[in-house]
Amino acid sequence: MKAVASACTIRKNRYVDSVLLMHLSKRLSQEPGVTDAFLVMATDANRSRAVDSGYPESEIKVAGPDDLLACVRAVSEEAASKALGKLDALLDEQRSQNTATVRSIDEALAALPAANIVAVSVPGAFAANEARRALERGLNVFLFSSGVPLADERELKREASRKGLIVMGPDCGTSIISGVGFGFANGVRRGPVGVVGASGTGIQAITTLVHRMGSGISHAIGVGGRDLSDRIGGISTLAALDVLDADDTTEVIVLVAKSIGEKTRAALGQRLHSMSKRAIECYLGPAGPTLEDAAVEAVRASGRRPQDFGIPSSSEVDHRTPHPSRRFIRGVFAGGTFCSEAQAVMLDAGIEARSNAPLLPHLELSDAGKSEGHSLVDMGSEEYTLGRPHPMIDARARCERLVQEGRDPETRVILIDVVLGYGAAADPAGDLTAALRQVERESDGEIAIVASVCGTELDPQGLERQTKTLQDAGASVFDTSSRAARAALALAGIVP
Amino acid sequence: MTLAELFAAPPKVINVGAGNFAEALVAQGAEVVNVLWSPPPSIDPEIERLLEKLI
Repeated sequence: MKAVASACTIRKNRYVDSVLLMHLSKRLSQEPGVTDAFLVMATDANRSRAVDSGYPESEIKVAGPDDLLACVRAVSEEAASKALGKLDALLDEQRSQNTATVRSIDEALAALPAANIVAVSVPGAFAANEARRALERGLNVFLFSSGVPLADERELKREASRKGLIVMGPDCGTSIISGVGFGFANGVRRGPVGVVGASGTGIQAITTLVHRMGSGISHAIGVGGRDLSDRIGGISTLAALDVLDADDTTEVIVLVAKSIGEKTRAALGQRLHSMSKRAIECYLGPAGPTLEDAAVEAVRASGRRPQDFGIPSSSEVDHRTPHPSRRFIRGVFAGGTFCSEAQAVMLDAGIEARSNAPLLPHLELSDAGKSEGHSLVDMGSEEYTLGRPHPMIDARARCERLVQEGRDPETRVILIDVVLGYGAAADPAGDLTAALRQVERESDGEIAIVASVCGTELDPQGLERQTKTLQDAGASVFDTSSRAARAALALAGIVP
Repeated sequence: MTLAELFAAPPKVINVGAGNFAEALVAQGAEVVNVLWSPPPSIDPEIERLLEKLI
């Protein structure tokens, strides 16, 4: 279909979150005759993007940052205008069907007086205000939003501490409270293992592996990536450890983090020493335990025998002999913790991979958009998610990066993670298959695709189904992220 | 409300922001009220500058 017409429409003062914008773009692009749809909040940057993409400037320039801007390209003017005519119906249809909907936290409290937690996922600039409102009303906070200033985080956490409450976050990807998952959480059975995590995907990895080994999770409490920095001092981590230490259903605790400040490490050590329950520390870094090691240890420490992971790893990696110029591993991750763990696995094998989220400062990529040598990119970091959905929801940016790596004549192995769970895309493996097949085709099969899947059979997407989708697209799928990273090293001719 | 109470029973949630998270909580059987959030209206930078001078 060749587009000959483009049109735009504006809805004044209509805020739509980035996830819904993505769904609406998809729906409008499926309308008859439509070749392309572009829906954004009309910020300066987004208006420029729309004009650069060739949409009519005269219609775009009257929109402001509080307005919804919808643009389509179509095979005829009639098709374009018909598609845009459906926008309001689509907006109404997308409004939450299954929950009582109100306009403020106070109205929500009137509707649900027993509410005990507020989950906040508004843009970062506004998130601290909503969290403050929740604390003022005596409510705990799950703060998914990123981009919250550090000073606000410290103030919110101190206030929560004074009131005997907790702020999980900001930038808190996951928590599971009494079997109910917040943010990007997986379906896991309840059991004796409690988790505290300054890393969202770290919590997802530990909880799913514990489940797959036959055990289960009492609670998993996310605290946000900066909580264990010396600037915050682990305020929420310490509160979460106290909760789990006193909780009757928790027998053993795993603490998972990407990094930890020196002063905080000392304070935390004292607390862990005085606890009545065994705590397993998993700080991802060179010579540290992997997520798998921590999960296995937790299951053992709770007196259970770890079972197999349930899904067989790819036993053989079938690929053609590559051209000698192909020698580098390129990781393109949705989960930041998997990116960190892969860096640690490679450092342990003597390989210094570069990253936009480096474990060691001197390994930072000079340009996050371009790999050099062995490179491991976290597509969920802020430079990729400002104003757009996380790659666990929206695979488009990741697919573009996969194709880019596939076209690099030095790429030998592409390493990916696929993260399932509530809040994630409906078919995250399926969303990558076209890009994976393109890599295979354009490299004449010389690039090996190595993957791990973080999830369980209780997730809406199904672990087995997602694994098969990846295998059908030519990927070798491994049980855990660290095993996938080691397999990538072996394929690149490096003995881990 | 104490922190321990939050973990003693399935949570009762007020969701502020992404509607898909509210849907996911409902799918897991949680009690949820969804706040239809929108940002406070932006102020013209010129008016903001004048207000700052006045206050």
